[in-house]
Amino acid sequence: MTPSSVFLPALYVRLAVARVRGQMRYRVGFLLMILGVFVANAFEFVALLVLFGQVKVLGGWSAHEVALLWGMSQMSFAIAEAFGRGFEGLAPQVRSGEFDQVLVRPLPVFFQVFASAFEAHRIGRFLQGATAVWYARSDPASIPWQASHWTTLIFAVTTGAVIFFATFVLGGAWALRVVDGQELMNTFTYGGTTLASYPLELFSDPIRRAATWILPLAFVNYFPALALLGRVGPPGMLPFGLTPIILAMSAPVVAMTYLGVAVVVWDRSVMRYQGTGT
Amino acid sequence: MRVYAELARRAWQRQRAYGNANLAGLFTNSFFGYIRVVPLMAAFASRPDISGYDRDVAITWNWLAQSLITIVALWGWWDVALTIRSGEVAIDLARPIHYLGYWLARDVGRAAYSTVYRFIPILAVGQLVSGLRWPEAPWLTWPAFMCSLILALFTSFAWRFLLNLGAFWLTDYRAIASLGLVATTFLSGFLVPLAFFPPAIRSILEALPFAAIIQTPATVFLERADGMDLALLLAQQLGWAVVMLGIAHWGAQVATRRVTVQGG
Amino acid sequence: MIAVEELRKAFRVTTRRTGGFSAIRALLPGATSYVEAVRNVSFTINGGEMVAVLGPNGAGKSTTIKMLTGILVPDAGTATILGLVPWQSRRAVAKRIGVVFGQRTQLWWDLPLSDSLDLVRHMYGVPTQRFAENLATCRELLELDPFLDRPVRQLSLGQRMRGDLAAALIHDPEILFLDEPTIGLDLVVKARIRDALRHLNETRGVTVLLTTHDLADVARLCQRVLLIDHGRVVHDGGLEALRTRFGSGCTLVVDLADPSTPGQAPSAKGDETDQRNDGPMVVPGAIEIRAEGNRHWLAFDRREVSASDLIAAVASRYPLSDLTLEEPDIETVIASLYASRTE
Repeated sequence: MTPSSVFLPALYVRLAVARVRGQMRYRVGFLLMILGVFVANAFEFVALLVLFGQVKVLGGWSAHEVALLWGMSQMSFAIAEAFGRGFEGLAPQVRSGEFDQVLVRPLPVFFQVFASAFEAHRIGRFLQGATAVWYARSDPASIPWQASHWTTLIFAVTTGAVIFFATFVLGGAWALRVVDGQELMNTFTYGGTTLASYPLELFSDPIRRAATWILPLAFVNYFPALALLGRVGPPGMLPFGLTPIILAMSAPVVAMTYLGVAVVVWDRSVMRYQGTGT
Repeated sequence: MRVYAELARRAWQRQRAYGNANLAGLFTNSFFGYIRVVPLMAAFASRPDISGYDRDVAITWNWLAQSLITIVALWGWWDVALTIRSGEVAIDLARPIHYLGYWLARDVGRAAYSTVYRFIPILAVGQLVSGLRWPEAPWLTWPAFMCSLILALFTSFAWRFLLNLGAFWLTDYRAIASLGLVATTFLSGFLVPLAFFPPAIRSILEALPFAAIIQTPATVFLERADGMDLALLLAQQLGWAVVMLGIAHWGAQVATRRVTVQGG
Repeated sequence: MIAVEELRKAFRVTTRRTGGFSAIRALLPGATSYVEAVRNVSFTINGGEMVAVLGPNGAGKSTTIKMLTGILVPDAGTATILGLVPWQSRRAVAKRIGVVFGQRTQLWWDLPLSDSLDLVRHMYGVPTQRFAENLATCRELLELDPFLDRPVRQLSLGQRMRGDLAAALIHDPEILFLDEPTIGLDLVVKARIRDALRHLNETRGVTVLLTTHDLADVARLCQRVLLIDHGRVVHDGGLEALRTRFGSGCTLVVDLADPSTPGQAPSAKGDETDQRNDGPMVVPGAIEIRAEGNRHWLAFDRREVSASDLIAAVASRYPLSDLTLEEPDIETVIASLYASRTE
């Protein structure tokens, strides 16, 4: 008996559609979830604007410039959350033994966890990020954007999403090893977006290095935003003295490398789980 | 009274079981405290004074807000709603004790644990990272702050309890209630001090019960009010605590009558 | 079909430290130890067999099943499922086996059961025609029709269990692994599930390996029982053989003619007169475990004293009006086996 082979991308779409359909059964709840996610992040943004109501610049950055950082970080994170929630919600499944179900199916473990949770309501956060970018663009002092700027933005947001997604994968790998380590991972995922929402140059040296070389948050939005805003960045602070444009262009390479590392760590963690059963 | 003390003690012990999660939470709080304090310090680089807050006051406010939130639990406290959803509420109601008191006692136990294992360590981290402004009149400020903290807990408890009761009527209560809590982080002065808002909005926000949850204890600790102002501030907070607990009590009665009549 | 040889698995357990900041203290050395969940398990199961794995909680049943389904990798020993090593060829094995964990569901909580089954079909790449046939079989066998279009979250436990079983059958598995498939179900649903399993075994030759605590499952379905205890197979054979082997404890129920006599052995030391006449009966080789009026229950071990010797001994000491010999039922045998574990 040889069952016909399974085409994974089609299966992903099928599972994602099924999940959204399941959520849509409670239409009001679904819309409220989108609204909730939007408003929750909007509050943080408004709080930032309140601060900017008092000071005109923050470490040399205007409200509009910080809004661009903020919006890019939120949009990237929203996409990563929508696709990577399966890895984030793994800890309780490992604890309850539900994760074992994944191991008795004839599909790659990574794929199954990836496909187990597509969360459409994260669009609420995406829209909030887009609003922040729109606000950033309303700055009369900014240079007019050409098509190339918009391309850069879309490219950067996608790259940033890959970086956050890889962080979720690492978080899932962590959950397979340490049963109650969920909250620690939140520091890197949610803490990461918050950190990336402010100009990186404000933070102390060790944090800045960690956010460039360990969890490459700087490549999510900081370098691309410097390039988009035509800022040169603080003197001596950019790695190897490279210009923001070159750093922004190297972001996809960094993101893919980081994702590759995350997938390897994930596979090793699954193997370890099979060896120890946590 | 004994039974409530016992309930509080049990709640404390229950928190102890999540020792690792608490430690991770402490790390998270400290990290967020750091992320938020940095832009705040940058803001004071260009201006020495914002709405009467100087740099040290603002930094201390930041760490206070981070640590206070662990006591007043503005993030995800759905214990009551979970018992309503699971039907366990029937057992709780059958107990020969006051329903609201039952939950308040448990929350006090939880908050006491958070005070020792979260509030104090986070302030210690703040002291290490950026230095804190400690009360200049400790004999007045510390007792006043203790009172304010307890009243803040009562107010926040009543508000969370009410949001949890939503589970009696709404299947989608979670989305709405989460929104309620998130709004509270904003309205209470957790995200940004209420003093930084434009004056008109500020006076409205300060009059709402949510200010009693974060802004008031922070104001007391930072000695932003003294003499008659301090007394009035605490009186207002007491007023809100009483009113909110009263509403929560009334809400519980309406809700539980519904359970006893309709069987949940 | 299934061949297991000297399978071993030990778990590292961290002694839970509770209290404040336990995480820091847990980093200190000396907090871990090893528990041997499976010490030495060997058995072979042929195609078409239905085998029950019995054993008290924590005996190593689940760990064994997890190794056979490719979830866990053993420390030592070998196992082949359909000629494949499950932890080496996890996906190839998964395609050909069906697994149901009674306490968990593999169905999609928010979706109708029919949608869940359709998704499972796509995960296993089951051809449309085959799926239609299998679904029809499941609908009839498990009576799915009344709730096929209802979201899984609204299903009763029995309905959900039938749905889960259907999900495990969609891809024509050659072997079914069932971990407590009837736990918490009512008698009617249990019977329905047993009938379905027996039908699948008879018509399609599906091999079934199930763990259970319900001996009725075993009696109705399985010719063969693997009793696992302390990580070892302590019995491999029929249920009846299990009783003859371990059920040596019997009970002699005695009705005395004269209610005033127990508590004293009248003939042995004649001049000793015991004033208490409500004490237990004293017979060598037996212990009184219960008394009610003039009826007494005497427990004895058949390996130590034969029933006829005991009856003779009782008759020589006490005036009897009636007696019956009670053999242990299988539940009692298993229960005493499980209980002896804690001692």
